[in-house]
Amino acid sequence: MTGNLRVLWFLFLAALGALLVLGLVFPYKGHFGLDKLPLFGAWFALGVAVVIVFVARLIGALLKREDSYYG
Amino acid sequence: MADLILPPGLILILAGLLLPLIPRAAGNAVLLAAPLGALALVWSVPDGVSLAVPFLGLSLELVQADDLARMFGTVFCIAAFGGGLYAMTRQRTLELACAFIYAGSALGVVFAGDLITVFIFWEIMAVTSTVIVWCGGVSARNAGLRYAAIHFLGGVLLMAGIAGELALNGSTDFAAMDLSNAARWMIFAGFLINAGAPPFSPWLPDAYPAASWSGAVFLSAFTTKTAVYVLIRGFPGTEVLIFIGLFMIFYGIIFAILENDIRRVLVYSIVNQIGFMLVAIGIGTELALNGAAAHAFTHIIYKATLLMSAGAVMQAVGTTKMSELGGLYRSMPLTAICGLIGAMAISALPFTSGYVSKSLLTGAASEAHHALAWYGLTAASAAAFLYVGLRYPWFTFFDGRKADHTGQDPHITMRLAMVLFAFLCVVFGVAPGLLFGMLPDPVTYKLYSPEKIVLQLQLLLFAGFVFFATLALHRPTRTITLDVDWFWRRLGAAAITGLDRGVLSAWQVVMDGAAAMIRRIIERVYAYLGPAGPLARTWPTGLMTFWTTVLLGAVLILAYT
Repeated sequence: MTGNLRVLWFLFLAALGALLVLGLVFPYKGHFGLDKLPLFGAWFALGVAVVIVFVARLIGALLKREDSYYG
Repeated sequence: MADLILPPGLILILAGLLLPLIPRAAGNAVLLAAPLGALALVWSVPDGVSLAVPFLGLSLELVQADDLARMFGTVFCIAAFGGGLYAMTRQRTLELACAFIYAGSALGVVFAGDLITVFIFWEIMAVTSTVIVWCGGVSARNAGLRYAAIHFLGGVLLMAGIAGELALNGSTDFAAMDLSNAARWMIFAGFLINAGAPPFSPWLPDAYPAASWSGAVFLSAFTTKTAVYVLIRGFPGTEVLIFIGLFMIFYGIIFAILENDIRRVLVYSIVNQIGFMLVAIGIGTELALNGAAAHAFTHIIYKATLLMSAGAVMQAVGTTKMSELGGLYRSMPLTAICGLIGAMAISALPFTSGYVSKSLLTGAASEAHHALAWYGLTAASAAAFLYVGLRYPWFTFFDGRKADHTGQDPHITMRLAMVLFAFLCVVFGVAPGLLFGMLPDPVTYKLYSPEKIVLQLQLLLFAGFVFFATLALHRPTRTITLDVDWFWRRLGAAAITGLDRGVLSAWQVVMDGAAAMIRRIIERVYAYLGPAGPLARTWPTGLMTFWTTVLLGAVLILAYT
């Protein structure tokens, strides 16, 4: 990992940490159920992104073809 | 003359017809002046029906205005202006001429007061947009044919539905409808095909990326958003739209994540974003319909920004495959910045236009206590950041590992168009009142509160964390992903080839059988009449006399009876 990249990762993780703190200071008032749990936006986005990436990989494994497939 | 009402789309249609006939400099002036003139007309037509003509005992209401029509009319004029400015350096006049007739027809649909008028402009849009696809070059020929076939299918369904509506209810008024009979289902299906709904969604990623760098900008603005407009007007609160919309949202996301071509990524994201709008139309409350209209408005602008940046890359570098791109921010900094602003707007970063309109949509789902819609829209907000907010700009402009090409920012007119639209992405985000002022109903929804901004930033940045943590999984590969269009591009083609071979084989069998039968008949006749046949033999005179007597006797008997 280069120096610049290391700094960028550090800043990014710091921003995530700040958002967690801000999420506790300004909690989102949910309407349904799960969204009433603390830091909903953070863990929901993590979960959704992981699931989407996994599902996309699965579908890709089944349906990806060479880009010359249709000629 | 004060009462003279002109259809707002007429100026654009006339401009389109004029463009091939006038010198280039005058044409450039027309490209800019015609959308502004149309915009003036959009804002000058009074509410209600102001222009109607008789047609086959019916009344064609060519101009019927209200706030919703004015809002869509406004953004269509902005899109035509930006598209014209962006495409000013394009050598081929045919594409621009068709693009302006296409834009004018979209305005025709928006201001139509009856279904027949909708249908007329709907079909002109189908024809002109097909020509725009074909202007993409030889490689666009087949995509254009498939595009035309699907849109004409939609047109047939729409016409059949309108005829049925006229037969059942005696009216072609274009007002809110329920799905109470087959005719309305057909109208609904015709609208949905143009919206890119399943199972015909692949017409979008098939056709639009086949168009030229400028043609795709026009195409992205009108067809799908006109469909959204007619669904808002014709089928608000139709619950099935929520499920169709949710399907489109996640279908668009997953296929965009797998895609290598930046323009196909952006077109899959049209499907995804139209899904957001359909969910809101399905919810059908005042806030939801406001949200759908606002999202159509902002989407036209940020999608045009994104496609302009992708078009600039295509023009400068000659490819749109992310597997061959990367690091272009050094040589195309303005294009990269505009693309990044468009990507942030589509991801609904606070203080961009996308945040404003998406907040109305999620707010509407929450207000209507529709948990599935709310969780779906919120999940999609996070996921959308992955595929457009990050993947498109990262692998095109920043990731330097596969920088096979360098380019340069495009011509000044293209730069101006990109900057104007990127500016609008921010303006409507920081001054949402400009957008809310155009909406059909007053908006009291509070957009900017600390907890809503923090929630949205959490959704984006934590999804972003997953993207960078799994970056290797997102690297573009020289692949495509099979879509539903495989059924008509491969299976359908194979079926037709098989049918062709089957018919030819059957025809061969029939012909062989007929030839064998004719051969047998000839052989029989030859055997009877040929040199060795009984009729060719020399017969004894006595026998001939006998048979002659028999025949004469028979004649005499017949003559006297």
